[in-house]
Parts: sequence; structure tokens; C-alpha cells
Amino acid sequence: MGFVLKRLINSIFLSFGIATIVFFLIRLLPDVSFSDIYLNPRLSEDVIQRIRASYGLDKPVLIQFLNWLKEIITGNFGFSFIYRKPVIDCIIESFAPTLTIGIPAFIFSFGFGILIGVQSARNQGKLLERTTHSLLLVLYSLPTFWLGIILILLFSYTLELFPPSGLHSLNFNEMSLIEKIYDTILHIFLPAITLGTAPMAAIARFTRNTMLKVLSQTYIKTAKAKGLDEKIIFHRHALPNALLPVVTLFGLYLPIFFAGSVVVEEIFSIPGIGKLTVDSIFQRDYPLIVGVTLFVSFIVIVGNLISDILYSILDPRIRLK
Amino acid sequence: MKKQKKIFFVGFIITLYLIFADLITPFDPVISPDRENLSSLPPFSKAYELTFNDGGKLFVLDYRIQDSLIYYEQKFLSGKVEINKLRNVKTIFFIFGTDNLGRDVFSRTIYGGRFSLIIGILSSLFAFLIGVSIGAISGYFGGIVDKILMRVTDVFLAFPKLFLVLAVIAFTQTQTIFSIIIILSLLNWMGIARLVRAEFLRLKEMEFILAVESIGLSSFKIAIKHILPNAITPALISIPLITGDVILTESILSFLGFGIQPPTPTWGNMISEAEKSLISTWWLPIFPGILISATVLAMNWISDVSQED
Amino acid sequence: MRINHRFPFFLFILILLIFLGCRKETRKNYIVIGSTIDIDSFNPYLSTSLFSQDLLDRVYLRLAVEQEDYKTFVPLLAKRWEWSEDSTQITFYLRNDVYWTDGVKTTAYDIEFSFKAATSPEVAWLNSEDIIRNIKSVKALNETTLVVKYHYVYPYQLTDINDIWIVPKHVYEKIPFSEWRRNGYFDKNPITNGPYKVARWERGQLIELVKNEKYFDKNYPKIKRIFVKIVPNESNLLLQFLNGEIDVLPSIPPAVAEKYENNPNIKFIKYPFLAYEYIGWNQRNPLFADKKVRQALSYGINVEYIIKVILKGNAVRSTSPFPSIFWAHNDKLKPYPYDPEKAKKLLTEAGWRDSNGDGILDKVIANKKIDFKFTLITNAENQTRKEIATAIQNDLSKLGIKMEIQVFEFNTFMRYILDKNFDAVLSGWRVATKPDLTIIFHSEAIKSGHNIVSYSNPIFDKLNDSAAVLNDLSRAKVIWDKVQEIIYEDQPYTFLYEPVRINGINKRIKSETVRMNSISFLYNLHEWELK
Repeated sequence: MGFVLKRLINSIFLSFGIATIVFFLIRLLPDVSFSDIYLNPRLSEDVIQRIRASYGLDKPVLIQFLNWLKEIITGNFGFSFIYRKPVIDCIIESFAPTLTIGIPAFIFSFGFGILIGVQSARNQGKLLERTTHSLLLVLYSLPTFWLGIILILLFSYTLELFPPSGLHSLNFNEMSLIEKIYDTILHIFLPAITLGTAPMAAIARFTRNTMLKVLSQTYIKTAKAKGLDEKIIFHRHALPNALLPVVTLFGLYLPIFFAGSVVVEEIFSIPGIGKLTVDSIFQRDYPLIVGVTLFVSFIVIVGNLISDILYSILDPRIRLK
Repeated sequence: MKKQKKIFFVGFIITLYLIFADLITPFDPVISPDRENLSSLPPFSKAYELTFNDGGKLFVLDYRIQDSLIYYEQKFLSGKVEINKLRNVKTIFFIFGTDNLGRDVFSRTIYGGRFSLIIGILSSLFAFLIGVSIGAISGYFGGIVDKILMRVTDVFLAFPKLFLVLAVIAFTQTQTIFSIIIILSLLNWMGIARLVRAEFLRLKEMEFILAVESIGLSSFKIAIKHILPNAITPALISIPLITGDVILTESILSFLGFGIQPPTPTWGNMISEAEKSLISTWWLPIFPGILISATVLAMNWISDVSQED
Repeated sequence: MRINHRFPFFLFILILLIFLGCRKETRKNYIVIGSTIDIDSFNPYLSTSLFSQDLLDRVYLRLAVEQEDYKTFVPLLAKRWEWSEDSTQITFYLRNDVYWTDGVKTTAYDIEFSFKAATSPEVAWLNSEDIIRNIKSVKALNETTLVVKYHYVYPYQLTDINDIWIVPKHVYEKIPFSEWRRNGYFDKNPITNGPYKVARWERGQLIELVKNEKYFDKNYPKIKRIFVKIVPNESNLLLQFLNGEIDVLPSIPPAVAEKYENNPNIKFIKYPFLAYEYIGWNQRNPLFADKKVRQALSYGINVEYIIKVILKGNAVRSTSPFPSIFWAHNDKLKPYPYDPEKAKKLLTEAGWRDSNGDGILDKVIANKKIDFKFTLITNAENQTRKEIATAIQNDLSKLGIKMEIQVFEFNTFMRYILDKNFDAVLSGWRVATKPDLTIIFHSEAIKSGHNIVSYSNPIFDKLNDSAAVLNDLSRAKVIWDKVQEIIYEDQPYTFLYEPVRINGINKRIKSETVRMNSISFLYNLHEWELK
């Protein structure tokens, strides 16, 4: 446990390191913050400077950085230019929708991915398996926005089964609790599938490959030679061993689901972390960029940490030092 | 031997394609022969090219001959010409339709594929090289080297990709196809590095390595000869996936002002531009989409083959 | 395992079947407006996008309503107004029955306060410049009488004072001006006085407007509930409009409008938009310093083709910086025809010829032989502009001119333009309803303004300055005509086209009650009726 704690503290420092790099980098990029101000042709330099000063942008970068550090220590992550809210509020508000889509997508991609992967390994070489295998690759190489639009065309435009955008209906506030839950499920269905399909294909391929490798190992062959029931070999010996590496993918895939997908959020109009990232970068909302970077990098690093921990728990040969 | 043959075969096809892509495009991919009358034609459209004696050309969608006159229909006009002024009539065929500017989608896709393939394949190979080197060094040396390299990997993984691109753009004055490849490979090597390192660590403890060690081979030789080949196998399956990814990501770069600029087509920018007009001209992204999938399948075939023992 | 792997599939089918038939909605008594962007803020002084302003105009009242001729005004918050003898002062008499949504009465003091906000440098409102320059003071005599004093007499006195957004003093004065940009206070519970009030704002998702029960005219609004649905993805938005889920959709692409023209459920409303698209030739670049070259380029670009094929006919050719529907427009100017021969002739006259036979024109400038090669920049988000750029590239290559295209993400693009760091730019301007070309063509605007092409002509400067302040519009028109002739001759821009805006409405809405125009696509939203 001490190890995990240490790594966790390390992760926090690493996130801050990344945020620091970003902090300095954005100030080297062409400055296009406050587009509404600089688009005003007759605003005097004086006024522009005053507005920039009110955000502390007039000071040398190093001083800005020290101020930022000071703020961070007191738990204040700065103030967003474009949303006129504390950065931390922006992130919390955007994280909820991202989670709402991310969790079902996570379950979908791992559930179906492992299932399909295991089945294809069992039926290796058969026509159906080969077709599935190729189909998975096609699914993977399908551009996400394309998949999204096709799903919308099919399921909301033609069949009118699922709503095409948003997280809930217009009259959500007037619904009973059960209706609300039902409404939310309907709304998250398409985006979750869109988000989960490509990882699902990758997971399925990965599972299949590790499964095949395990099946070709000597101990499985020995067991077969001994005349053990194939089903028992498969479930008792092969499956657990093959799933080990798959489980470690949990951590690696964490950011895909919980750090916000720009494309899926754009297509289905979900105001999540992905949208926040894009808005902040395009409008050069410095505090928000740094805040979002901090948050996203933390998720990525924690994801890696989880995968390392899972790996070591499941495979005692790799001991944590 | 068979394995090498297959890889050679795919490589040969791709090389052939790269060399002859210009020759097999039936139409000019950048400038339409008649951008007015041939614009936004759906797939499998037929048109006729009427060539006059004086060398002038007319593109019509339909025509009929009556009393030594040719009556023709164009997209916006119809008219007639005397048949004896005409040198010949050629039927032209747009199998995948034309875009808003009257350019043949088939030709554009074939032509644009050169850039997409070069970018896709080279970037994923570079990413693979970087990933394998970092992963192997990390796994081999362990200790402080491992720690530093893995933290560097984490930094790259955790860095917002969009931002990484913007930062690189800000610091590069001139962009070439090579700088695009560099950016795209920098965005994609991290997963491979982690995978290779993990495999390296796992294999280090395996019995056969311990066995080789007991024979007395130097640890460096073991790493190169026995561990590395085994460690990169699982990472190989990610090459085709990265290739597909990269081909699509290239189009995002051009949205940021980096990447291949219009009017030069790439599969990525053909697909992402088509997205905006999906409701009116739905056929534009289909052919490039098919070719991206085909590329991924072909790459996958290679990586499958090379994994076979 | 055998059963197991089929189970999820059956479950999936089952769920699908349950969903079937569950999504039938009852007849709607509200309408949904679609938009790709959200509004910036409910504080009108902080919101900049056109869409925000269209929407805010439904919840905030102005003194008067600007009419479609851009000259006359119909009373709204002001019952009537009187001009002083010398016309430097207007006295407004306000309605006595207008209340903010929190019950406080809207008075002349609110307007006095709003004027302070509008002109405050700390607020840095985008449109403040003209108001600061022209209006001397705004004073409330009592709750219903407002006196506006001007520095001098000019034709757009009403336009300027009517530009001011009227905000509730008792709410807005709680936050000092310097804090406005850093405060989300105004967005939490917007206090308004228009026919609609804000019921809900979920950022990036939807805005709900409902009837303001306190609105002074009890007959309006006819439609009591309005939703604004924000869907950033255009294809998704269009599908929802075609499906009837969205009732009002602004800015529909011409190709889509063409395809669905005969759809029985929707109606497209087209109107000319006060804007124009142009190519700006950076005259700091020696290539474009000669006006003959610029004229040649205008002759060498086939704008008719662009309008006919790329825009499907939904545009009008532009000849001057004043759109053709605007009263100041010079009707005598005819667009430069597409004439490659003439273009070539002009280029030869300007000294450009292909001396080395490489197919590209060249000329010796400052003892160095240079090729006619340049880069046109435009913004990457705009697919139409990318297509137009390609068409122009084709046209110019026929003249022996090599043009490259470079696209940028919008904010970077603006940076390049404002820094004058480009050869040629494809962009557009939206035109204000009062004629003034100072910002874009005056030589003083090279240093501090939007004269991005560094155009400079002293005769133009003089005429423009005299016309802008002339009170007699018919006399001003004579000078404006001359000004436009100069611009036409000099071609600092190649004027391409004035876009026609295509908006769609669902036929659930009585289309005869809908008025849309260049001022706003929701111009009379409160008068719309459902069938």
C-alpha cells in the first residue's frame, strides 16, 4: 500500500510538471486570447492593457507562474476567461457529462471486447471468426464522426429510436424519476456506443491474440494430451491466464473514456471535458488550458498507475519495488 | 520464407501504387475538366465529352442526335450543335461521383492516397521504432533509467494532443511532409513503449531466458537476441491500428493549419471535409473510407503474418 | 459459454424492441431553434457573437425597433421622442408600464446607467467607439424622460442611441465595471424586460425562454415557450431539422436547401444579408502595389461560376463595400466581368510577362526577377471558402499566376490578418447599418484599425471623412457614390459576393407571421404563431 501511495504522490507531481510545461508553452504561442477585444479596431492599447492586467497577464511570465503556484496551493485553480467561472467549477461541471457517457462506453467496450475476443480465439480459423476479425479492424479504422453520423441516421433519423443529441429531453424537468432515468439511458446510448466501438475492436483483437498465445503454451498442450475436458481446460486454465494482460488495459484505456472525446462530444452535443479542452485551446483561455491539462494528465497518469498495479497483482512475477 | 514473401508482396503492391498513382488516375485530381457542368455528380454517373474540330470541348450529361444536329443537356443549360462540326464523342464515367468542384472522387482518392500512405506508414513505423527503443532500454536497464524514461512516456501520454500539435506548429517555420510525419509519430509511440517494456520485464523472468543466462551468454546479447524479438511481437499488432489512426489524424492537423493544404487531397481531409456536406453529397467519403480500411487490413495482414512462428 | 455469448445479443434486440413505439411525442406547443453555438453571456455587453445578439434582443427591450430599411424606427420602450431645435438633442418619453422580471420598473435611470456601462473603457464593449465619439451625455430627468445630447448633428443619431443595450441598473450596479469580465453573476439569473424571459440555461446544451408575464403588451408573445437547442455538429443539426425535432434553423448550406426544396414539412426563407465576401490584396506586397495588377486579378476571377456552382445561386455579385440592398450603394457600378484576355493585357501593361517560359509570369522588381507567386490564406472551418479558394487558384493559373492556399484555425487566422502577415486573404465583412469606410480603407486605419490591406488613397480619405458626417443623406449619397467609384477603380479588394442567407422553418409555424431579415433572423419572434 505504501508503494501505491508513493506512486500516487509521484503522479500528482508529474501532473504539475506537465501543467508547468503547458503554462510556459502557451505563452510562447501567438497570443490570440480575448478575441472579442482585439477584434475591436478602435480600442486603444491602453484599455487592452488594462483588461489584460485585470487577469494578471501584464506581469512577467515568471511572476505569473509564481502567482499561479501560490493560488494552486490555496486550492484555487484560476479563473476562466471565457466561462467567467473558477476553472475548478468548469472542470467539475464538464466532468459529469463525460462520466455519464464514459462509464457505459467503458462497460460496453470491455464487455463485448473480451467476449468477442475469447470467442474468436476458440473458433480460430473458422470463416465466421475470420470475418469478425476483419470486421473489427474495419470498425476500428472507421472515423469516429462517421460512425456517429451513421448511427444517428439509422437510429434517430430513420428508426426514431434514440434521440440524436444532448443528455436529456427538453421537458426533462417535468418528468418523474423513472422517466428521467429512462430518458437518460436513451440519450446516452448512441454516444456511448460511438465512443466504445473503436476501443472494443482493439480490446477484442488484443484478447484474441493473448488467448491464442496462451492456448499454444506447453501446459495447455500437456493438459490436452492428458485428455482433460477441453471446456475445463479452456475455462480453468486458459481463460484466467489470457485475461491477465487484458485487465491491465483497464488503466491504459481510462483516458479514452474519462478524459473526454472531442469528436463524440461534438457530434452528440455533450458539454464534457473534450469540449472544454477544445474551447480553452482555441480561445486561448490560459487558466482553463492549464487547469484542463492538469486534470487530463492526472487521469492519464492514474490510469497508468492502475494498470501497473493490476499487472503486479495479477502477475506475481513482476514485483513492485 | 513464406512469411517474407507475403510481406514483400504487400510492400511491392504499395510501392507500385505509390509510383503509378499518378498514371492510373483517369482525371486531373486537382482541376476539373469542366467544374461547372460536372459538379456534384452522384456515383456511377455518366457524362459525354464532345470534341469539336477546332479542339474545343463540351461536357454534357446527355445527348441525342436528330437531323444532323446534336441536342445536348447540361447541368444548367441545354443546346444543340451541328454534327459535322464535331470530331468525336467520348463517354466518361465517374464511378464514385464528383465533388462540389466537379473533380472526380475516384481520381482524387487514388492521387491523395500517396500522401496518406506515406504519412500513415512512415509515421507508424517511426512511432514503432521510438516506442520499441524506449521500451527496450527501459526494460533492459531498469532502475533509474527505467524510471526516467517511463516518466517521459507519461508526460507525452498525458499531454493534450491538440496542444502538442499547436505547440509544434508554433515552433516550426516551414512545414514539409516530413515534419508532419514527425509530429504524428511523436503522438503515437507511447503505448508501444509501455507494452514493450512490460513484455521485456516479463520475459526477463521467464525460464528460457534464465536457461540461456545459465549457459553464460552476456546479458546484452540475451536482450538483443532472445528477449527483444519476443518482446516486440505483441506491439506489432498495434502498427496497423496506428496507421489507420494517423491517416485520419492528418486531417485534424490541416484543420489547425498544419498538414496537407487544399486543393491537394488526402484520405483524411477528403473524409473530414465531406463531413460538413454529408447531407447533400453523401458519396464523397465512401471511397477514401474504404481505402483507409483496406490499408489497415493489409497492414494487419502483414503484422499477423510476421507474428506467425 | 455457448448460451452466454448469445445472451447479450438477445438482450440488445429486446431493448431495441422495447424502445420501439415508446418515443411518440404529443403535439408540441413550443418551438425549438437550432444553433451550432451557444451564447456567450446574458450580459449583452460581454456577448459578441451574432447569434447571442439575435437572442438577447428577444429578452431585452430597446428604445425603438429598427426597421428593415435601416433608416426608420418604431417606438418600443420609448413611446415617442422629440428633437431639439438644432437637432443636437433628443428627448425620449418612455413607457410607464415596463417592468423587469424581478418586479422593478424599467426607468430612464436604467438607460442612463446603461450608457455609462456602454462607454466604460473597463467594460470595453465592442460597439462602444461610435457612441463615445458622438454622444455627449445621456441624462434621466425623471423616471420616464430621457435626454440625449450629441456632440454634433449627423444622420445616425437614433441608430447610435438605440444601439445601447438597456440593462437593469439595480442588478448590474452591484458589480463594479472593472469586475464585469471576471464575473459570472449576470448569467445566474438574468433579469430582463422583453417579451420572453430566461427560464433555463444549460451551457452547451439548451436555453429555454418562456413568456414574460410582466411584458407590457399582453397580446404577445404568441408562442409561449421557446427552446434553443445547441448542437455543434452541423450534420446532426440538419438531420434534426429535417426530422421535425428542430423547427427553426438559421444558415442552411445552399446545397442542402437545393436538395430539400420540395420537402412538404419545411420552408426555406431566403434574404440578402448585409455582408460581403472579398479577397484582400496586401498592398505592402510589391506584387499587389500596382492597381493595374489588382484590376487584372478582378477580371481574371470567375465570380459568376462561384455563385452559380458553389453557392447554388444563393448570392449577389458584390461591387463595393456597401451591399446592394443598402441605400448608400452605388447602383451604377457593374461587377468586373470575367475576362481573362483583358486580365492578361493589364498584367502585360504592368510589366508582367513570362520571360523564361516556365508558365509563370515574372517581372524585375528592385533588380531582382520575381515570379508571380503568392499565398492566399483563409480560415479552415469554412468549407465554402476553401472551395472558393480552389476555384480562384484554377482561374489564376490560367493567367500564369501561381497561387498557394494556406488555411488556419480561426483565431490564428485573425492574428495573421490583423498583423498584416499575409499576401492575399479570402474573408468577409459584416456591414454596419450606417455607412462609414474609415475602419477598413482609411489610411489612418493602417496603423490602428482594420485596413488590413494597407490601402491608402488621399482622395478617398478626404471624401470619406466628409461623407460620414454629412447630415443630408441625399447629399451624402452623391459623395458615397464617388467614394465607391474610387474603390471600384483601385480594387484594394476584389469584391466577390453578398451572401444570401437561407433559414429554414418547419411548416408547423405560420410562415406568414414570420419576418426574418439582415437585422435578425428572429426579428419578430414574439409575433410568430403556430398552426
